[in-house]
Amino acid sequence: MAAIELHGVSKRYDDVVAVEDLDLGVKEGEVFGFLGPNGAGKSTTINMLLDFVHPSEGTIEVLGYDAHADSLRVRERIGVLPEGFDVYDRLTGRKHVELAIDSKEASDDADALLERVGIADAADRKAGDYSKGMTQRLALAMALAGSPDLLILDEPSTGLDPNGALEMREIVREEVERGATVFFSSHILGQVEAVCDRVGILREGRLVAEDSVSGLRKAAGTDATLRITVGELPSRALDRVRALEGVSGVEQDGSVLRVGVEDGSKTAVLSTLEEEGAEVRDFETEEASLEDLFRAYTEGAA
Amino acid sequence: MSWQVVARKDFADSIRSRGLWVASAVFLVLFVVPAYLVADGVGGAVVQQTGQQISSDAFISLLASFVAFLIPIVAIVLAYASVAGERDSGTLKLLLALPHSRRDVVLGKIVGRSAVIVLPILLGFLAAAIVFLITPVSLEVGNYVAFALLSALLGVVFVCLAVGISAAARTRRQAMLGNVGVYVIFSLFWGSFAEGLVSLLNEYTDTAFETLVRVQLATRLLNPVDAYQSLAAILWTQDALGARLSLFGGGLAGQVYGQALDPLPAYFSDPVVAVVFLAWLVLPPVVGYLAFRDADL
Repeated sequence: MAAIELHGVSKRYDDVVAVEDLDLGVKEGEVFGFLGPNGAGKSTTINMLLDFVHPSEGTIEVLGYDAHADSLRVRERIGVLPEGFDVYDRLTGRKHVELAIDSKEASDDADALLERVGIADAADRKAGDYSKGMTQRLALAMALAGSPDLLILDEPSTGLDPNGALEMREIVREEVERGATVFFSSHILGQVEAVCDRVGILREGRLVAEDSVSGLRKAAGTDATLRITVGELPSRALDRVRALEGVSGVEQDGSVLRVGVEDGSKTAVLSTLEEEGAEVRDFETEEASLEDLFRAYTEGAA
Repeated sequence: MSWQVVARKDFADSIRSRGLWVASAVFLVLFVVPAYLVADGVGGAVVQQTGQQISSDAFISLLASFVAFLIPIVAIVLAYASVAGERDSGTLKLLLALPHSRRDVVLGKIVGRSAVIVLPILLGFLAAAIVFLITPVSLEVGNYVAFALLSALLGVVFVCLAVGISAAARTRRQAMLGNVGVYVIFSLFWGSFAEGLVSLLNEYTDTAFETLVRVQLATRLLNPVDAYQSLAAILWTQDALGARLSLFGGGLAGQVYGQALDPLPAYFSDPVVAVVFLAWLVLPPVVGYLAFRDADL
């Protein structure tokens, strides 16, 4: 059985399309990274899994249950770290976790959960005084209550320092070892890469790619961008660079060239330019960004 | 029983927010002060002149219209943001990520906020009763308890209204406007509305006077505030007719209305008015829930 299964799911608000014709499958026991820039439709998709918003079209199943009709069953068995949430300012951290434990009719120890996410010392403070990172940890503790079969984490590392993000990933690993499935969204490539088995990449409401992390690494690796500042530039030079093996694209913006290129072909690009009499003043390699990744997948498919 | 978890959380939050304490202070002061004035001023004078004690019934008949004005305001202040406020701030996402249905959220809010208004109301009545026990006013326990419970019920009715509106609203602001609107209509304009309706009927149809009076009374009783007052009046008037007429004041108008309504039709009897009053416990939450159920958060 799939942990999450979406078929032909669309969500429109008036005339804005937030998610379009989305098909997605997450297997039991895997860590699935849901990658995309802000506004790509990640949170809308997650909100549909949770029955916070209702799809305009399509069917959604979570743990074998219909996400709308059986939402209560779904939420009994999942742990959620939502996006754009707020805590109850006046209630303590412990009260929050107790609320989650009581709601799930679980038998966890609130203090142990707070300890696990690293805010045990703040258990008796009002959550309204917590920093953004602490609120995020508190919501994670609430999500962990009741040992859920599926964890849905929407941008979990928001507000966390690098160390906090590392601890978050450690907890994700522990949960997977326990047998849970983890579905988490991020707009940061590195975080998804570090912990996921598979990724789905969302852009402007559409799924651009669904791939294993090794496939993702390959795509990201092949499409590093070489940023070259040139002086004189004979027109033949660009044509020859475009024709090189391993070059996926060349854009010219005044005196700046951006060349999408495989790792092994960087030197060839530079030497070709010089052979053709172009004056290379400066060059640098840009790390693969999400945008580069989109290009890698979309142009690869074309 | 998921609504119980929501209700407990909501009640705990109200204690922390001091809502419970402020409401308690309001009812303590506003019930005990008039009780003392009745006991000390009026009570003392009556004892001196007639040698007889006045009863607490005098107090409740004086207090009824004041309570009818006060309790809805307090209930609305306590409950207008109950659902929409959580939706606005994002705490609702935290709550609904847990296994609670939206129905249980509405129900839990109603129970939680009802506790926050019922306890202070009963505390206020208890304190006023103590005043009567130590002053020369005789406490008519049965009537007094009935009035206290009916007043607490008025608090719950307005919590139901406020939570229902709050559930249907998309934002805290909408919930506030809706609730203020309801308060203004029911507490300030309803009497004029009923009168206006009847004078329109009188002008453009040839409806009999008896029918006009019945239409006016029926319209008035659809308002939970008026229904409350007309039910409370049972405690100090002679019969159901007297209790219904209390809405129109005394004097000549009262006499004319009384003749038009005598004998009182069955649909104006105490149980029917009570049922209409109790319907307000159900109707707003159901409508609010239906809108909330289908809403995108």
